[in-house]
Amino acid sequence: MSRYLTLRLFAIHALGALAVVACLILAAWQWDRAHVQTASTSTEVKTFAELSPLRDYLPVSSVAMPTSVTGTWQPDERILMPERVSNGPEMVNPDPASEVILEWAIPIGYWVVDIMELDDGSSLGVVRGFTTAVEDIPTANGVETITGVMQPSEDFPGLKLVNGIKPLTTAMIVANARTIAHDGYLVATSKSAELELVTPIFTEPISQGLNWRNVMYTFNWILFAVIVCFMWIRVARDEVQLAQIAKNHADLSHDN
Amino acid sequence: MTIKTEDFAKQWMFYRIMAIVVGTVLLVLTILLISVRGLGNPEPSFYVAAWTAHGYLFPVYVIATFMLSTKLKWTFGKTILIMLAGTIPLMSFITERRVAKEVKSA
Repeated sequence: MSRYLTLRLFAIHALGALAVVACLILAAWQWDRAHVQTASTSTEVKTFAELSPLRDYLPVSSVAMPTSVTGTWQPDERILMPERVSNGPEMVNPDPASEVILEWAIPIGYWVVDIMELDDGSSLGVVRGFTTAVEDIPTANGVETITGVMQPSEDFPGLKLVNGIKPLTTAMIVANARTIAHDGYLVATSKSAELELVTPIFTEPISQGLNWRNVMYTFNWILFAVIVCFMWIRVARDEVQLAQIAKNHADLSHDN
Repeated sequence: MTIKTEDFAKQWMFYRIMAIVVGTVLLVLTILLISVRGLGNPEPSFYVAAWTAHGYLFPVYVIATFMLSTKLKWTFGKTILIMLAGTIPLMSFITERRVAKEVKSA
């Protein structure tokens, strides 16, 4: 066994293992980069029809994009979402696999969701704001143009709220709307009532798939790891063979 | 012992081809890089694809260098330096010429 335990061979194994680990770390880094969310640089207010095609799911690319929409409030269709705070991101559970209970130092109250009927007859759920006093919420009436950002239904895959907060879903909006409803909901960024504005859960666009350049670099580093393994095996094998030849030579000299 | 066998000739040709291909691609990419980053010209449509292609050609050059190094009994340091030559513009052409001299004298 001693021929496998020389200092040189140990150095070859150490260097080989180190190089393989380094390649795999770099591959993992590139894989992470391939998923990096691209921040929106667009401040342009898109038309609502562009963002939220009716009779279709809300496109991921529409999430958090600013938009403007005009419609008529449906005063009898209000939804109140209790046990919430005005800052949406604070309600997101960072570990969706477990239940997280948070003690908030900020006021807990309701998200006020009113239904707006648009010109094409469709309905849209609009989070108009946050309040701690249910009895003081002004009624939504008449025609209004409102600006805001679209959000996905809160049963969106991977999204879970803390403190067992009930999610605001498209299904709830559909159940309250009198006409066909859009997927997701709009969070108002313009004040339309005496309510504190809500910060939406998704303030930036959601990552849209993979960055293929980084995916290619990931495979590049995996390829390097394979090459290093190949070199490692070859060098180690040669080292063992050389040691064996040297030993045989020494044995022959000793015999003579 | 002679190293000028058919097997060696194949490995020597493999290394030469890869050194010239990697060197040429890197030279073109360097000119493009200067044009895009230095002079502010727009990126050509094949810019990202070309860099990615170099990323995949380089490992093949590394394999070719390693195979040759085992035949020519290069030291570990020399092998690594010749591999790294594939990342420096024009350097793979220079090393290819030097290796050619070494092969001729072997």
